[in-house]
Amino acid sequence: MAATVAAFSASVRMQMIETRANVMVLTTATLFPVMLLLVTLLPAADRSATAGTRAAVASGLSAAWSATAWGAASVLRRDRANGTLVRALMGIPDPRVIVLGKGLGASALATAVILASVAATLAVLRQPVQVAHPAAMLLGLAVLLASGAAVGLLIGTVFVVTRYGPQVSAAITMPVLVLGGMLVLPSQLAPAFRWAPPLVSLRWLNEFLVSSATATPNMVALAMALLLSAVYGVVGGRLFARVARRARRDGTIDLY
Amino acid sequence: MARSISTEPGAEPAWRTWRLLRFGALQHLTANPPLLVATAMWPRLVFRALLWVLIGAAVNGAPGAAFTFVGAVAITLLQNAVTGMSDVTVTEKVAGTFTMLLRSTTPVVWVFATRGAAYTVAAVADTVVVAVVAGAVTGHLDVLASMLPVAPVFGLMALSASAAGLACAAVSVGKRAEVAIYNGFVTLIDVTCGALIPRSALGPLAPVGDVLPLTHGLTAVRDHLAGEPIAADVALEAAVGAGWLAVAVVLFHAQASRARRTGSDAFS
Repeated sequence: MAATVAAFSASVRMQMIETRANVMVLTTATLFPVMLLLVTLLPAADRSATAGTRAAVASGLSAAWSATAWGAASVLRRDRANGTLVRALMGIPDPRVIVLGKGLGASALATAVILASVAATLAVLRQPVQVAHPAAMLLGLAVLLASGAAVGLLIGTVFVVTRYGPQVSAAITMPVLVLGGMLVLPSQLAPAFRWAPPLVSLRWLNEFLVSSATATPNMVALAMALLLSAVYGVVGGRLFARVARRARRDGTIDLY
Repeated sequence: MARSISTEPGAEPAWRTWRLLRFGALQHLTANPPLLVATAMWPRLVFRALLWVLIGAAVNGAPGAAFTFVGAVAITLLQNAVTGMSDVTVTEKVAGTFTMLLRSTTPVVWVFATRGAAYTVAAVADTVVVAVVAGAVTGHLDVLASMLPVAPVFGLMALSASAAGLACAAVSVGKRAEVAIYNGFVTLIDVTCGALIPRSALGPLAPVGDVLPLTHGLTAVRDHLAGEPIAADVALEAAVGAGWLAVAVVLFHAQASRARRTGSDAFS
């Protein structure tokens, strides 16, 4: 257990150091939330504090998802390019612990950048926002990071079985932004797609964060987000263990 | 001088240009296999357009959706025309072939313009796919049909965006910040060209869009939809494109002559 914790924290730390050495990977995390906020706020007639809060939460979460999908993708891709993928995933510690740690390290930095970017844009626009329950919002942020790490495991699975991981990552980023119930309201979707938003943890986190910022924290939404994140984590963990085992058996981990 | 393949005057530059175009197309196809474009890249671009249209609808209802639909179709050009174009020089740099290309007897800006031509074609193809699919999904095929007479304006925008992409490519290469440079440039165009945000709502950012590609072309398209004359804006779009081409020529020329003098392109 102590060894697992040590491997996990070392992975988080190493990924943060690596990201800081390649700050350019944080470009999208800086620019995307600004663009989303401008697109949702500038043309809007309603610029009240409540509308501003909704736009800020939805833009921030959308950017966080984008950064998570890209982060999980680029972490393993760079490991492969640097020749460290085999050593990272074939050591004594469980490879899932390493991937979870690396994903968390990458998304923690990206989330910090996104928060700063959103805050700076709101300040420049002089857009008022509400922060009714800061403690609940911090809790939501922690769940966001955990959820991102769990999804990172799922995405990481793709990278072990195909060389076109970055393209797959790029392809799944946008559908989640459209169907994830953040910037696009679930009621806007065609009836055939309304089943999708409730399956996305970000939709519930969006609701929890907006309710925490503007009124009373919606604990049901938080519970749903946690439940879905746990499901992603369990499914991702099983899938990743399976492809990692297969890659070890067949010696294909660096092949693609 | 390389041996000429024909005695006819002017045949060699044409032959070189043909080789450059062909090589650029092959390189583009290798980096973007058609199957991958169809299964991963086009769906991504279509979903991105859907996101903008739905945000437009969430913010300003049906008129907002129609407004962002036109803009979302236009900014689809940027993915290949600016980002792809910038990648041409960066890829050469990574492959170690950039130095040789700077020493080519063909003018260096022509080398990269022709190598990148495949990206301009791909940008137009992306835009057609996104316009049709996103138009069908969001119910804007009527808007698309009324845009058909100004389809050549989209061709012009593809060229002006590619000219800006070429200038961006010159700036990007060798800085180890190319991702920040071209993503920043594309975001700046996305925000200020009036594609997703009405230019009247941009405030102090609006003048920035005046010198960027797409802005005037989009104004022309919207004017056409409103039944107004478009000639002046089309001319402005062409002028902006020519301006960016001039910037690209100057930048590449300066880069090539500096590299010949100092060998600096082998560093950084």
